[in-house]
Amino acid sequence: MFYSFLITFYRNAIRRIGSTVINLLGLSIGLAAGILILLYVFNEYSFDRFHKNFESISRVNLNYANKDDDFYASEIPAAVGPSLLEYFPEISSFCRVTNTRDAYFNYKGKIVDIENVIYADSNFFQFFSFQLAEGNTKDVLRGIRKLVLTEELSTKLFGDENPIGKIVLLNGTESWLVSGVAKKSPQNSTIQFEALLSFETLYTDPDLYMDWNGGNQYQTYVALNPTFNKAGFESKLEYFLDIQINRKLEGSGFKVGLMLEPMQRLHLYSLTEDGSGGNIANIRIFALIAIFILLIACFNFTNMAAASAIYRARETGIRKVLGATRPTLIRQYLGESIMLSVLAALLALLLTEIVMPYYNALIDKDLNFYQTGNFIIPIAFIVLVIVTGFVSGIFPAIFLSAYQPVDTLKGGFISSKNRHLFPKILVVLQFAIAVGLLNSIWIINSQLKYIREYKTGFYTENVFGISLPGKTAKEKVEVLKQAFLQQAGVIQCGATVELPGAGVTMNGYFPETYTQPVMIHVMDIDATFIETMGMTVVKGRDFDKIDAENPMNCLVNEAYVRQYVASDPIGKKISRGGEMTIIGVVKDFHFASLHETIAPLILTNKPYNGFNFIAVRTADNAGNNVIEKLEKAWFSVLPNDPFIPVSMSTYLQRSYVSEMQLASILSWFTFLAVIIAVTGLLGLSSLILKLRTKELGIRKILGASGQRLMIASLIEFSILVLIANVLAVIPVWYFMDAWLAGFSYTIHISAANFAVTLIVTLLISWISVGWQALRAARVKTIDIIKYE
Amino acid sequence: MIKAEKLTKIFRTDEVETTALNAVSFEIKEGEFVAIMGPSGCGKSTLLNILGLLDNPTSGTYTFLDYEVSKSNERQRANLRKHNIGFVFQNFNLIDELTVFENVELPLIYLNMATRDRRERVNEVLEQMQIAHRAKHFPLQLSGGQQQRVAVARAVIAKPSLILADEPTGNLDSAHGEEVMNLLNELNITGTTIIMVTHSQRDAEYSRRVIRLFDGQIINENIKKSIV
Repeated sequence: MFYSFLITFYRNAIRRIGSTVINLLGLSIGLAAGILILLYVFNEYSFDRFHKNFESISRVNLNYANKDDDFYASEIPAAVGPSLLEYFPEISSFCRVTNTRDAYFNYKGKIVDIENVIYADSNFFQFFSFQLAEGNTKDVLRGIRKLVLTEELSTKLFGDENPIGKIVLLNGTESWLVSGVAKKSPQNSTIQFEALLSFETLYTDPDLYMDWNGGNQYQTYVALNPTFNKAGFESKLEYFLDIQINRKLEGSGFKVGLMLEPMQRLHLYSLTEDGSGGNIANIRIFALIAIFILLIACFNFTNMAAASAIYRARETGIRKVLGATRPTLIRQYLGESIMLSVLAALLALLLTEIVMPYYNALIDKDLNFYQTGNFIIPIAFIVLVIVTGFVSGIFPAIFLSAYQPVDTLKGGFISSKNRHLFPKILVVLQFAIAVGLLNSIWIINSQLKYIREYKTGFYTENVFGISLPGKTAKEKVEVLKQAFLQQAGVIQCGATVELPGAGVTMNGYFPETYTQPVMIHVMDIDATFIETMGMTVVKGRDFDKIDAENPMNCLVNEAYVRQYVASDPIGKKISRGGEMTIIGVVKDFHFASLHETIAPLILTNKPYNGFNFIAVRTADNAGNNVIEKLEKAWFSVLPNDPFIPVSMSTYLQRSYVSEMQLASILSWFTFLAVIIAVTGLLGLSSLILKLRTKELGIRKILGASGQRLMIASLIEFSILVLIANVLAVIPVWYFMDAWLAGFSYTIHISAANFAVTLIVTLLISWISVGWQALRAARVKTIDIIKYE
Repeated sequence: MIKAEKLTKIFRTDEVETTALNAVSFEIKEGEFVAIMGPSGCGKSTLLNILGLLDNPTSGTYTFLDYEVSKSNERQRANLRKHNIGFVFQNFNLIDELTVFENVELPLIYLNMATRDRRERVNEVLEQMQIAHRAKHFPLQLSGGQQQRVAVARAVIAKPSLILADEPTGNLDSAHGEEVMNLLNELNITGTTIIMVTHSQRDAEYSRRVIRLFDGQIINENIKKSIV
């Protein structure tokens, strides 16, 4: 019997090869899209779970609260870890790392600059599950100026030489001993590094705060004992923080709190603003898209199965007459749809393999369907395929097998009332999903365009930030500026500690009349920076060269004036370990991303540890080789330091990486969704028009013109598309409104968005249905007589 | 073999009620060859569908092989059907996607017969129907007469005790029509009961009894003395 089923399935598929291909392609594209998105989602969820004991590791975040502010920071003082270990028996160990920073290494004149160097405690390789290729986990980072490189960096610096025991220069000045080689940190790790420096070295720098009283730049991870009890821990926390820090802050208005953030939550759920880029909201959107695309594909598949079943009504009737029972027929149709979905699955795997490299490039990951050790995805996939085959086959199977054989033989099944209602509902639903995605991607893209074009309040084009990575570079700021200015096409340059646009640091300050400090953003700049960036001083004056000798002057932005100054701001004081005088007010500019509103800002001209960047503005017509000229100028001053430029526009885009990723993924998958939905519409229209051949023919005999018949068919399908558009409006409005709420500066969702999508989808449907309607309208009356 | 008592079939739509069969009663014994005749719309095919267990009557009783089947469900009817009844239709009703061999084999598949036995039986019947050389062809590659021979082969494959033929020569020219009628006649001679709906007086000549229907009622039963 199975063989007979197989033969019938095969011959039917070949006989209607067009619809078989559409059907297979629709489902395989849907499945492939589903796999790709789910791989991404699983990857995001897998972050930091490769550590053997990830469940017992937490990151320590401190909470800073006063009457104006309440925020969490993951970069905390160095002393927190040791204090916790000493005080809480439920904490078994801790490990500290600094945030990543740029650096360059120099070995025998060979310079390699990297972006990810971090200081890490000596137990780093025991505490976490990062792998060492060479060296001993216990002591590679023990001692002063010990250095562990990744294999990749080691090859860049030393080639085939054994790196262990070699001395390299860090940032042109400090000598470090290579004590180990580490394997690359997994892509799904929050902690990323190209080089690790021994943490103990930090204690030898007298300029660094290593106690509770400052130096908020150390991420601290703690391992909790199996007996850890959250309530018990928290009950002791208040007293602990009291003796460590809060008593010293009494009267300041500040209170420090402490929160343990589980390792596996860092990537997607972090409460701190410096999360590692994951965003649970985006992941949910991706998962929703995956579900939607799979739904569209399943609806499509079901519709096509139903269509094919209707074509085969007569066959079903004959089989029934010959003794086939209802369960036999249900098994046959279910078997066929499961077989088809298995075929689609194989095709989907092939598609996935083909597009995987491009997809990985798009999302900047290294995903693979056959990831070793991950059985969830293949198993989920198999289940999905069988369920899809089952769900899409069960309706036609039950539907068709329920009819009396006499009816199916006579065509009574085909002419039954509401015969198209079920496929029509499915097509409307799949179109509604496609329309919803189209609308969403349009809104997301409009918002991103809005952000790109939003006036930040400073020049973003023709401006470059040149990094000052080492001590020598920092000392030669003025010489470098002069060297740059001598290049043709360079208009102005100015130095700063941080480039604007992606957020700047905060410190506690006392605005005049304040008795308690408030956390206020601060940028340290030189006298030409404001002019270089095209920012405007609206009151008072900019820094001048004399101010460089007088670091007690400062500028503030308009937001500062609005919040902290009652009358004329010029001459007002701000205190922090000394008293500064406001000499000017700068027009508000977006020093942070557009996710945030413009906050009060203080601009000082006394960098704590030297400037980190020189901003260089060039003329529009400076030409493409301006970077080469700047590089030449750089090496004329600093022949042994790397030249690391970044264009301001690129720098700004980094704040919107997750949104841009969302937009590009969403664009592609929306495209796929629309294609699948269109194939669904094609399937439905061919089914309906085929079944209406007789009706159309009779209408023609009675005098209807082909054109009129065609228009009538188009109107019928247009109504479906219209309903789909209407259905999509409310969910899109709701979800996109929620998404836009993450930005402080947004576009407004307008009815025009929806109107344009309606027109686009109507056009698509007319094109796809039109030729079939035309064919149906051209039916020859003689064929109708034969049909009878 | 067959006993119909006051068989009535009423088709209802939202507004119209049509009585296709009106209290029809008759008996058919094993081995008979009965023709049902009458003008279009008189209820011939409706009666044949009920007799073939493809449809249930609205009222009345129908006893087939001592089973009262007028109220039986689809499963019970399908079971009786596949073991005891073969069908021959005017438009052949072969499955286009299956070859001649596979079409003929189908009833045996539903009887769960073993593959080897099935093959033997199909080959035997195809030989008998002189269509074995076309075993691997598809229905659309055959002439009408050949297609109907395949349909007859399929009808007899499971050795049914009753064959129902609905206008078996309606789509055939006279030569092919005669061929098919001869096949049916031979089957009847070997003991198979045959009930045939026909418009053709010529075909009716093959039967031993003619039941004439008009407006859903039997108006005449004519028993012949001898086989033609």
